[in-house]
Amino acid sequence: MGVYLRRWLLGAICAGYEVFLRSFPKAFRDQVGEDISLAFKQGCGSALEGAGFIAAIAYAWRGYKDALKEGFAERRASPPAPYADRAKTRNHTVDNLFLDLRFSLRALRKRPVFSGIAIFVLALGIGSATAIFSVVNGVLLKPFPYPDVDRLVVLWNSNPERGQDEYRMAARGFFELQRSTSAFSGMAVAAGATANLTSPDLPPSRVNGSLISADFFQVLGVQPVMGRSFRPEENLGEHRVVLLSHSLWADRFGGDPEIIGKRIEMDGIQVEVVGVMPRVSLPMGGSSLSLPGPDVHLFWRPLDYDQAWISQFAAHVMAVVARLEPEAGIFQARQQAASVALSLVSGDQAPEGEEILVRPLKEQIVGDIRRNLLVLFAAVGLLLVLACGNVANLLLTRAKDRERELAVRAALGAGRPRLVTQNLMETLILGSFGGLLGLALARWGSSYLVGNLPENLPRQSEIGVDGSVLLFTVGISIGASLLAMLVPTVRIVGREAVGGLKESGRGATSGIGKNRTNRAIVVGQVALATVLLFAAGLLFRSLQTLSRVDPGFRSEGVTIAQLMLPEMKYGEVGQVMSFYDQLRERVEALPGVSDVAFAMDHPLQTTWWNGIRLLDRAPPDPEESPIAIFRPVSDRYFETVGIPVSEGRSFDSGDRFSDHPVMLVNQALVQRYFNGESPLGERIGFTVGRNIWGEEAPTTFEIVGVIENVRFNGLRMPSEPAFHIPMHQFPYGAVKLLVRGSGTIGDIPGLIQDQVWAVDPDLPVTNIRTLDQVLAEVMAQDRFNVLLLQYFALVALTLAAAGIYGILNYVVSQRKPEIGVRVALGAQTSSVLGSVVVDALRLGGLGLGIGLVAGLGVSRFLEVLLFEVPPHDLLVISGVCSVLGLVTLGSGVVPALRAARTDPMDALRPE
Amino acid sequence: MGKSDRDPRELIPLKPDVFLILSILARGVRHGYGIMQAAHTWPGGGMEIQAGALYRRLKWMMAEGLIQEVRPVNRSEDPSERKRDYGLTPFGRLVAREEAKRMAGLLAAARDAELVPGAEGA
Repeated sequence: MGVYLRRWLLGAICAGYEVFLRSFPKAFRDQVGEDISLAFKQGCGSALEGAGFIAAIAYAWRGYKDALKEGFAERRASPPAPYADRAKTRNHTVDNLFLDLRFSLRALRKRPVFSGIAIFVLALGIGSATAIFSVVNGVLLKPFPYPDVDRLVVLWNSNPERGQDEYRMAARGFFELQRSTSAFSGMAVAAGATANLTSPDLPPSRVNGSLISADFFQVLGVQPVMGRSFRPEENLGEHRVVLLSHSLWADRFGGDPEIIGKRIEMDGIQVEVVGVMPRVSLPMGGSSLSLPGPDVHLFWRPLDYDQAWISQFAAHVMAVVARLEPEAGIFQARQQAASVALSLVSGDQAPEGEEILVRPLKEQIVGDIRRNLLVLFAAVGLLLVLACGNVANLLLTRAKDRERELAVRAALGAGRPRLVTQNLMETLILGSFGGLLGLALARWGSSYLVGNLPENLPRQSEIGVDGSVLLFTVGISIGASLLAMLVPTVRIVGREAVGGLKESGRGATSGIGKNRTNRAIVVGQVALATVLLFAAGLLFRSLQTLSRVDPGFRSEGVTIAQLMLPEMKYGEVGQVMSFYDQLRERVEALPGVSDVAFAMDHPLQTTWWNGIRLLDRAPPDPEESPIAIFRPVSDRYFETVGIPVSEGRSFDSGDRFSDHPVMLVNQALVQRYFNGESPLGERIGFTVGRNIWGEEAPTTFEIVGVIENVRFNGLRMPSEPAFHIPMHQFPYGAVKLLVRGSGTIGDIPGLIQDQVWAVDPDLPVTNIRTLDQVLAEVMAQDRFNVLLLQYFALVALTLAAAGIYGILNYVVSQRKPEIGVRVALGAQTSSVLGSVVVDALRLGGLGLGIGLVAGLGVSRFLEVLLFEVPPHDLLVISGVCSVLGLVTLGSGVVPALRAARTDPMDALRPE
Repeated sequence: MGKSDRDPRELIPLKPDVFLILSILARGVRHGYGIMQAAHTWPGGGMEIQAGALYRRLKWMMAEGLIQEVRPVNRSEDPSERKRDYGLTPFGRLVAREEAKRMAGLLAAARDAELVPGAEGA
């Protein structure tokens, strides 16, 4: 089989070479053409045999380029044959091509409006498609910087019985997987971490990073560019070593070539730099595994297996990355993971129903975004087709104008191939200019896109105009040209040469039926515009609904800042408390500030789930062990964020030092675990383990209040059960400072920064944002989709309107003599006007009908993006109908007026 | 047309690929693909000459009288194997020698400038 394939490939390559060989002058080819082909064939054959398929293609590519370059050089060097000779030679395709090129350029220059519109329309289509392709290329198509990335998988816990999608694994699950599976050749973990970097000469900065197992980078297949990775023993006990990302090393440490072995200060302790990673995107363990770009500062430190929160096994903090054995498929891996999950559950080491998910890494990083991007890509595809339709229509209309010219040329002996070639040439020229302009548009559009992309879009740093994007642009430019000229060509080939002369004789009229092709294209355009408008309308409605969702808190006027108190400097809980109190006192004193609070997470963020025990009643479902979101907050938190307390009381300063642990739960928890009955006074137990100061958290809490539901997991998700405990009873170093102000206090970020530094000059303040911004980010993806589809719909609508206008204008000018006769015979202006407008409405109506049917079909695929809007939303449908009706009417009016103003004398005057 | 009376130095310096082809043909008669193969494995780097470029050079070299077509001894009867062989003319040999002399001079100068590694004892 391989032999046949090779022989076929070689044949195809050589056939291609023959084409390029034609760039040599005929005389040269007659002399040594066969020898050249033979030498090329032998060279390519030996490349194919010796080095394989890719090498042969590369060889062919070089050979083609060489033939083209040398051929034209030879052409320039050798004097042209005398004209008589040239006429004698039958084979003069290349000379003709040059002639056609010149002729076409001249023809296009002579009709600047036509050419301009066609180029602009193509540029619009090509530019949009290229811009989106640059995103698709960067996010989905560019290879990941890890060897054999298809064997990399990520493992999560999930609990479908409780509707929990995927969450990080606990240490117990990880060790069990490592111990009792064989499908993986390596398995590593990463837990999210952050650290404050301090040095005498630079402002403090907070850097994200991961705590990893020693073999993490070995599993990924990435080596440090300097120094070493971690050793297995560094996972046991505390080892003060760190790996730096390339950008962190370059930016913060000035690319110090001697950095290995030096000590840097992280969170107030001295840590030795053991390695620097290469400048590629490397994964970061967080609530999900993310892949920040190579410019993001990151660090990695060894995970300490002996540390309390790991060894207690319960905390779900680990993102697990594994590499499949070469013989093992993902199916086998899933089977083994499932049996581990089962054994954990049956051994009571994991909650009922907990499963282990195995997802390919690639899917993990780009899986969720893939669908959205492909929808967008399909939309630009439609747009490009629309643009081609428009250009085809323009070409057709012009071909009619040129029928006489073509007929004359045909009568003078130009063969059909020649006419077709020339047409092709013209369209390709239009396409090339359109492509160039489109590329410029795309470069601008792509940088605009990158500036507006939702933050959760992975691999943003990979987006840009590169070689493959250029290739794509060239490809679609040619493709679009060919598509646009398909119909006109069929017309040229299909028609009688003499017909043109006959038809354009005096008094002939082009009936409506004669423009069937043009009309079909316009109907198609209207239909496509309808589909896009429909989709945009649905997404817009969905965004509207989403933005009306009550998140459960009042975001206006609230500013959030992230703080991270290093455990080394704040070695005792008392120090943390006093820091909180001092900072709060200072911020509260700022004019215009009404409330100040601290919390581990802001309201739209969920980091921890915890198992809970109902101590005063049986759980509603004995099979199900209750689980809820765990949120430590300070007093005044609910007042600051504006979450109403519906029952009982809020936290107050008295809860700080009380020995009586209390908690507030949300309505969702009451509904799920208390059957909606008042839980006040009942107790809940849970074990969270020790905090970083080694303090054991209390285990029994009395419920003193119930708060309204908050959409912790984003606006699309319903509220999950959650409980809050006073942060002072169980403090953390990583906290968010929340400030509610009256809006007139000016530079809040600067003021907050100053106050923090007044208390601790070494403490970086990061991520200062308003809660409104956070809320907007949650909707960024939806907003982005709407923005894009609206743009597409607008362009499509413009194109469709131009299409309707173009064809009607053309029909009117063709029917001028007929209309002239009718007017001369006493036809009313209104009836002439009416006939054209009716024509327009017929076109629009047909397109609208087809488009609506298609749109309803397409909208089912959009359903995943929609929020509480049915895919057949009546409001959207009626909106689309009225917009298209108006546009159709509008684009029909001008030609209609032109028809109505026809002067019979003028129309009937002989040519 | 009296090409052999010409001063070989008129054509100097040669393009690198022309000099390479001359050197290859100095070792014996070869056909086009044979030259391409030899160029690829030639000592001192070797280069890939593409078919189109090769035959243009050959045409020029024939016109300048550097090489000539040679009728091979045992011509194959298979038409696909039938191809022209090329050999050096006396003038071509002169030109190649002249170019080699020029390059040797260049090399000596480079050695003086200590650009040639490990050439101290030469």
